[in-house]
Amino acid sequence: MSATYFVRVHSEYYNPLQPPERRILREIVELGHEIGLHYEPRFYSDEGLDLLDAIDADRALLAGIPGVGPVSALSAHQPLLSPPDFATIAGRGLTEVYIHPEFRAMRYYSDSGMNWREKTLAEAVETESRCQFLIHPDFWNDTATDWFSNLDARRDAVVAELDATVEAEKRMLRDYLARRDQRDAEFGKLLGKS
Amino acid sequence: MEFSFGDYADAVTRALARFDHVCAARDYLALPEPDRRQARVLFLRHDCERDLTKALTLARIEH
Repeated sequence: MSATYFVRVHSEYYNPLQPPERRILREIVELGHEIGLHYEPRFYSDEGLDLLDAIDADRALLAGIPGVGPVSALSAHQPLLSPPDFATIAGRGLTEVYIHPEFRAMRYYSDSGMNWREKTLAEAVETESRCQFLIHPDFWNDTATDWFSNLDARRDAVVAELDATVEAEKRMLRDYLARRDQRDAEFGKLLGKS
Repeated sequence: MEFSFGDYADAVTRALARFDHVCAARDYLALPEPDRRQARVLFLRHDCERDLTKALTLARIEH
């Protein structure tokens, strides 16, 4: 079994270029899955970027993470709020899974808005023979919870991660200040100063 | 069906038994033409909006 994991480059909640997220992406690939780009038309528009140039740049950023490999599949982030120019993307021959003929020919289901569209995954698995199923990992937990509690939990996790980073930097700073003269002398030697 | 990892694991286990291919976009497009047309296929995609940690959890379940 394999799946395509579409990743944002400009998410407010994670940064795929930082070490912890890079390790996650590598592990997802090692498990046999594919990394695609969850491209962000509204961000590109707000930044005055050309759609295709921005998609290529973001694909290159993800593909540049060692172990991730080529990034050829695309899915649009919030296509209803900020509709991308699908015709332009199709004209480039990119694998945009909303519009690529091979995937468009399949029945489409999703858990968007934490609300099953037509069928749950369990129902689709029992009744369909060919379909595209969109799952948002954000919504899933050890035990089911509502969307707002889910967002609160994500905020708490992000704050906890930042707290740990700040505490680690404080420890480093205390260590540096305690040995400042020695460190400054070492740095002077490194620069060739006596 | 609830949004719990346990329910997800049950669903993908049943999917493996029912579909010929439960696969990524790349792997579906790499199938020979007859397979693409005739096989029972579930293209499974995940849009990672806010949390890659949960994406990894699902990836491990699928593995």
